[in-house]
Amino acid sequence: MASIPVQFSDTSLSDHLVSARLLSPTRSDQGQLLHSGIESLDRVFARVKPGDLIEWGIPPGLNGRLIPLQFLKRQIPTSVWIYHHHGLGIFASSWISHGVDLQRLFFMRSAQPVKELRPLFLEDTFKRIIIDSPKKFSKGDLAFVSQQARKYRQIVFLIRHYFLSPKQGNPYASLRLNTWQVGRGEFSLQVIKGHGADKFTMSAQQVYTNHE
Amino acid sequence: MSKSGSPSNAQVIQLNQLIEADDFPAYVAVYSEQTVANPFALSPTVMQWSDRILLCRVNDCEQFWLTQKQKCACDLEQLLDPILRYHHGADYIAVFANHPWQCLVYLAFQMHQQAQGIYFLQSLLSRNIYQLLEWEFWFAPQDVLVTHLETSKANRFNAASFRTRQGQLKRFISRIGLAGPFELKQADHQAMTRRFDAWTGKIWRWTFDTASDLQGFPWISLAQAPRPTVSRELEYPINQWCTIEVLLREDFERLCQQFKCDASEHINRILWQITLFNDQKICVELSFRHPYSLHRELPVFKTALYQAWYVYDDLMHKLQARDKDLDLPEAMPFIAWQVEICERIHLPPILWDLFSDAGADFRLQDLGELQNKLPVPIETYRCEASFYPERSFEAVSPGMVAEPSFDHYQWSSSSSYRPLFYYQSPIEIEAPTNSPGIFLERCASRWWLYEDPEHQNRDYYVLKDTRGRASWVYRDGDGRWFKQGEYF
Repeated sequence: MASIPVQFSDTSLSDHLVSARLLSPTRSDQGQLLHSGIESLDRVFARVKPGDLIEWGIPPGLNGRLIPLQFLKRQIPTSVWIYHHHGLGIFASSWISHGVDLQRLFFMRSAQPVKELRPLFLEDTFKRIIIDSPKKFSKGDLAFVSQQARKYRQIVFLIRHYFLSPKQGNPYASLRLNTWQVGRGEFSLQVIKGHGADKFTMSAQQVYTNHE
Repeated sequence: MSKSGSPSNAQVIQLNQLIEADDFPAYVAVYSEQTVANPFALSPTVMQWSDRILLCRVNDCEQFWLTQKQKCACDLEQLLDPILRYHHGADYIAVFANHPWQCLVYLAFQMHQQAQGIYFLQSLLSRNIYQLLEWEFWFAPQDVLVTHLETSKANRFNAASFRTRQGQLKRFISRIGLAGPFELKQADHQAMTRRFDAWTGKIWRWTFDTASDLQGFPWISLAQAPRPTVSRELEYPINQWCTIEVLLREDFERLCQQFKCDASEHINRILWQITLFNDQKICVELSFRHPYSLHRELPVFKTALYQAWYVYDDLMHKLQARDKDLDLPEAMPFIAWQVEICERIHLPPILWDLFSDAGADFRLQDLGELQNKLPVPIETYRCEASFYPERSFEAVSPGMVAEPSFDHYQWSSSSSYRPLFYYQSPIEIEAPTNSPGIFLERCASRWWLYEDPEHQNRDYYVLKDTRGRASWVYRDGDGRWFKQGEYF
């Protein structure tokens, strides 16, 4: 039997299959990447794939970060939360109480993450990167982070300290949402860009419960 | 022993464990029959006490050893034993204590016993034995001590006079019939100084004092090999990073060659002395949170260049701010520099084996290497067994065992309604004029430690401002209000 030319060897064939799969918008052979255990929330994030950037509008004081936190509970890959809240530190026991796995979620303090933490974005050590209210984050930074996320198949959450609006778009984000707590019993989520319902609510019980 | 190497829970009494109050010793005395190729394995500060005995000041690297200990989830003895065996052979004796003299006295006893292994003087067992030691072990290291005192030209030390006083002390002991130094403990060092001489008084103090100061002990540091240094005189002034980077890379390669490409040499700090265009010399430091191996990054030296870039960027900003009003170049060029490795540690391969994390989904070493490239630390935390907010968690080094050894559910679940971010120093605020908000919980500190236990309570509330933004506040036992967190 003649030997198979290199370009048609098993390895190259599997590479072709993988690249072909990437062209397909729906990847039913793989499970959902971001899973919170809250059905309504999971529907919004059903199409998130590696390399996506998700933009959140979460003004301070409205407890909205509990929603992105739902995706950082058990069985997450190595992740980093980059924060810069003046004078504030991480209250770790609260994160643990919400079921966040602190063996896999690390924290870094930086007001200008792209400038100060550039090596972090140039490697694939962290598969989930949460950039929380950076003081300086230019369009160039956004393009860079987005490009690196696609290269290393990371998922990036970019949290803004203001509500997002469709009047000012973000072409790099595959999903844009606003989230906040209403009173004591409900959390609201409004989808600015992406699939799923425009706005819906979740009960506090759903958010505070650990979903395994 | 459990699989992780930690002592089995079946042991009821562990007399060889360190007592909690004094967990890390300052010094170690190591005896070994074989010649030690690298005396700097435990610390860069070493003294050659005698042909067979080395003294090391291990608390110079306390953070490093404590981090390794927690990373490996073992005690100090389990961490250090393989390293000591590697460098000193299987029949070494090592005594850890807070003062080198105490190490030497106890070492004399263990040598007499023909013992082997590690001993911590802070442990209950060793402390009890130390207190019962006979005079011969107290006098044993004094011959060598005399030699060192003479070598270091110790102030007001005369060997002949000292030996005379020693003789007097021995006759005194024999007359009174004292078995060991601790039987005369009531006499303080000043009394011994008055009765005999100043140096006898000092030795007496070293014997009993638990402080880690040398207190006149004649420490003669063993000289390390000359620090690897590379100097460069530039052909023309430069201030652009792209050019500096290329030249620095060459200098790092030259530094590697000075190490003879020994991959076990790891660096903690590099000193970069830069000469500016106006002939001013500025020293900046490249520091690495984890011991960094320059050789492993040949020829790219990514990590070292990242740290150099942070330092360069910071320096340029400072120079521009300083020289704004002066008629000087906007970005002051460099005309020369010197790169020197000022702190390093020798980590044999066996130590890296201890860090292997084959079971982990990510490599701790990757995290350590990334950490070295970043200007800020990577933070990680674990739960502690306390309901009191500030004590309910602890910051740990990345890679340390984060999962607590106890079931933390009852403590962690109490934090569900607390915020994700908190003020490390609570901010005093005015008492709310209306209703204080939603009451969450009452916490009490370790009230039994205070004279006014009734004032140690804190009542926590969620307080909303006029814009509906929620903060985590408390009222203390004196009725004062503080903001301690934000519900971001």
